Amino acid sequence: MGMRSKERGLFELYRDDPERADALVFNRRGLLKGSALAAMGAAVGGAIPFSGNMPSGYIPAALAQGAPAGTQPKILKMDGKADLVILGDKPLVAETPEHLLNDDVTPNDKIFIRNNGVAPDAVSNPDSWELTVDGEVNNVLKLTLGEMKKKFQPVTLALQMECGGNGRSAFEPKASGNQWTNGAISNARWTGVRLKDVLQAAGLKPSAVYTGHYGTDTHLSGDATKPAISRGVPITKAMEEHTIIAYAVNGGPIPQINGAPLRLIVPGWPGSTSQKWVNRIWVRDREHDGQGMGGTSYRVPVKPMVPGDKADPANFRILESMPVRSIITNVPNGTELKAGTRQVALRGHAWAGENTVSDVQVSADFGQTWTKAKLGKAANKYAWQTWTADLKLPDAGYYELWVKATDSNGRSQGHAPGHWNPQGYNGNAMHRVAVLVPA
Amino acid sequence: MSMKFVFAVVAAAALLAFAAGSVAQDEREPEEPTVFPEGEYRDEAFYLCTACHGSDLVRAQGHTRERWAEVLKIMVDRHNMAELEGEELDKTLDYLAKAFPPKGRVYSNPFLNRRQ
Ligand code: HEC
Repeated sequence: MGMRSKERGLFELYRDDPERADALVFNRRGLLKGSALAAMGAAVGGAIPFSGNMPSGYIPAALAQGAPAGTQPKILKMDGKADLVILGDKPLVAETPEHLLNDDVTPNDKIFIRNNGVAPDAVSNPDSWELTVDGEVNNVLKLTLGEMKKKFQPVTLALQMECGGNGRSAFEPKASGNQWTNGAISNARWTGVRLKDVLQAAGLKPSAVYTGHYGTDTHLSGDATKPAISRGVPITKAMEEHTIIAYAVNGGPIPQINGAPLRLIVPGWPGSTSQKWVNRIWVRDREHDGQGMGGTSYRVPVKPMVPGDKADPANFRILESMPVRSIITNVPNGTELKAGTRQVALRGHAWAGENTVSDVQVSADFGQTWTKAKLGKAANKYAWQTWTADLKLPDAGYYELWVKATDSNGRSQGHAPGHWNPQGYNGNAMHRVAVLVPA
Repeated sequence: MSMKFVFAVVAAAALLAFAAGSVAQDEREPEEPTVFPEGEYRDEAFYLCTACHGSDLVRAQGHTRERWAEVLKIMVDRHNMAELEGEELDKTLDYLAKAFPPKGRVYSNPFLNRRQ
């Protein structure tokens, strides 16, 4: 069967009808056929030296990433922020493309933006900001930020902060929500006080089992009585040494859009638990039931469900630790390397929610062979780890650089996100970067 | 939110620092129903679905009619959207299912069109 290239180009065919494109391009043994191989090479802009290893049904990374065909990415232009990619402008949601995440410590301008509601205006006197701790405590606390700074010991830690939906765009069928690639992650140095110290000052009653967090952003519907988002964590996570109430980041004030003057950082867990503009922590005697806690929001199936099927909320559990993920940060997708390049030095980061990363591997031949990366240690628990690796490119042509990490429990990343769920959590497919070595 | 931001519409290639041409806008223009694909009930669906959030949140999705019905249920149960009934519900779902059907992966190739 020949390519009907006159009918329409491979690129258009892949765009419009990927299944048919695959049927046309791949033979039964799953190898690219001669003329089809040339056509695919043309579609990606170069010969594909490792085409013999390309799995059937495989869509080259060069074709599979970036803005949908016919649309163009919107780039954020905001004071104090780098060129983040806007996923939605009301509420404002913007991700940091992988290649802007090369710093070991994420600078403020590269911290991604996720809003659930209408962000509050900046306050003129941050030290008078008040936080209430109530519910299952012996003494209800009303603390100003100024008092908090005086009363409790400050801590500074590099901490991952990642949106629960990071990686969602790779789900098929499409999962509902912001279509993040891998850019809803930051690893900044946050300064604050331990939530644990504040809870202990309030005195937890034996009935305290969960927290409920509130901030000053408002619901999009305009209903002032409805929080934009109000999630929480089990007391054990709230009492964890690294869970902090932060008032500074990277040695200076928190950007307003990232939650100034006060926010929680619950590292390794979905960012929605790290309440921005936090003004109340309600200690609960049961699992918190605020906005964003029930149904299938920030939840994943217990028993795997059929992708696209109707969800049974009874089969869902709260997403706690984020999954293992790794990214290449020094080579942007779509980089044309210098002619004659035969080796490429890669670097990036890897992290795994509550766990550590024990191994990172990279491949330039569609996963036929893997090269172990040199993996650094985390600056502290919950900081991401930096890795480096060199990969050989035997000839000119089109390559994909793949990276996968394995966590301390032996869990790795797949080619596609598993465990489909309607709102698209836990999507941690391998990061793929397309590069071209000109002939 | 009083914070103002502007965005530039940049060709895909510009992301990779080979800027082709960018059109910077001063400030975000109010959206018009024409940002939604044509179809019966488009204007009604547009105004209904952009009352609280931008159209991107809707346009970025691709669902069957059944899954759109689930999304609408979330809008009503959790987000204060007024419950739709009868013809209004049917027409909204018909429109959404037709305008934003399930999509396979959508592709943009960073190398294509860069040469020649
Ligand atoms: C009364 C307000 C309101 C109306 C009207 C409304 N929405 Fe929403 N919608 C929301 C809020 C609030 C969110 C959650 C935003 C967030 O957390 O980022 C949301 C989120 C969404 C999402 C993302 C789903 C997810 O899981 O986060 C989709 C898709 C969506 N809305 C579609 C629609 C469609 C389609 C309509 C029109 C039929 C509509 N909305 C009308 C308030 C509304």
